[in-house]
Amino acid sequence: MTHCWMCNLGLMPYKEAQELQHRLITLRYKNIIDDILLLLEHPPTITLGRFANPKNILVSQDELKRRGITVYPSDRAGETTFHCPGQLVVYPIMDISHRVGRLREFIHCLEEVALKTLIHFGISAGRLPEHPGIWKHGKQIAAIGLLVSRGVTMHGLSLNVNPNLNDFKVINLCGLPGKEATSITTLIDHNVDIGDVITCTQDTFSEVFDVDLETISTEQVMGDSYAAESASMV
Amino acid sequence: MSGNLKNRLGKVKKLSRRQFLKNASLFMGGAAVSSIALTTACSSSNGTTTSDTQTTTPPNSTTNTSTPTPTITTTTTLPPAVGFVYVTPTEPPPKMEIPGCTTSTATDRKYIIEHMWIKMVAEDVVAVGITEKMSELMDLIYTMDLPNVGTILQKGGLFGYATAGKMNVEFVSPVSGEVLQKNNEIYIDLGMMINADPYVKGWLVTIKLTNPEEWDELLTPQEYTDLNSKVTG
Repeated sequence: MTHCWMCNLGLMPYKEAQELQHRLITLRYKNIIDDILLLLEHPPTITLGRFANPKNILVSQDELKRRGITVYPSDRAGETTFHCPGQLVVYPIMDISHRVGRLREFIHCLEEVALKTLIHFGISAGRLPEHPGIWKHGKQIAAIGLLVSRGVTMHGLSLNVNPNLNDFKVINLCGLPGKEATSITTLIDHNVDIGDVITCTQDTFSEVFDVDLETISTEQVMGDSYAAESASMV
Repeated sequence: MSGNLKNRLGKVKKLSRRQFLKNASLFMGGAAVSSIALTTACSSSNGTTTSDTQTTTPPNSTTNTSTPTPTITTTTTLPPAVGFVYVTPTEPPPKMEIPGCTTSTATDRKYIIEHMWIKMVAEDVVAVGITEKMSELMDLIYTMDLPNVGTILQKGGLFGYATAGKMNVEFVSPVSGEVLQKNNEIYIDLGMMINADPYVKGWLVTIKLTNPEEWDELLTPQEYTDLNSKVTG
């Protein structure tokens, strides 16, 4: 079992989180830090993956502005994705160059984390061969998209816990017209504390990836990553 | 809500910077240390002018890091860069197996640890591609973004992206220089050209080196093989 940091960043804008991940993958590549698992939520944001078609945004710019939804380009794989409070985002910054197996198996493991977490809440979801992510009753409950740079992963998994599902209708989910999102709260018909989902996700992540998670504060991760980045420029 | 999340995490362990940044002192001088290590490791390689000499392990040999392996020396006369057009070779390269892996290393070129190969094909001109190891790790590649002809690349800077499944893989440029050619034939069938034949049909671009001395900093086939056999073992 290898050591892995775990940090709950709380609510963090997508741009800030993406910049943090870029700092961390550089530190991880240089073996300055161990693997680190980031858990967070984003304010309402549409992210466009590298091959996203902007036509998958179904409402006008004015409407997006009125609803407080920002649009941001992402360097992850995949199409159009929606993030908002009530959706747990899981970003593993992991050096996978020392892990035997194909990159596809890493995605498979990340999907397993979502599936096992859902089972804990009494939901038996699954993969669809034709579509990425995790699905239940034909609706998407978790989306996946990653970037690997120099053998280190960033971006990851987003799991719908108790978000406002109406907001997801502003896009074609993953570029798939007509597909809808669902959530843990919707499926089990009562509200779930996202903190409980975080605790469960930590456990399943530790089990699936065989890592020993140790919590570290947001302040330390942010401060040290900035400090190390500045030092590298000297 | 997010405050609630933080509360659920309980007591957060406070660590010193040295604990989180485990190699802080190394990081400050890390680039220099890495450069020295690579230069030392490649010190037996000759610089390339019109004739490129490489010391390599015999093809198809199984390498054991604990057992010295005999080496052979091949000398190839390289064409001048002016007017040079790289043509996909018709013959497979000599290879050595990576112990513990199903993949092999071509012995007629050099490497970076990020699983890219670099082959000197003309005076100060290299062809670049991904290794069998990387091809196997990625599984079936379905998109590949390459730098266009004329692009100026910096060693360690962004080279391109490949997509496999729900994963983007970012490649870094192994050398500094200008892109001379781009292998558009790979787009006929990325699986057949790159996954099935990464060392020959799957070449990606050719680059005119702006810092030819960077060639000496690249990994030899033996070094790349040893690194990957250790990883796998």
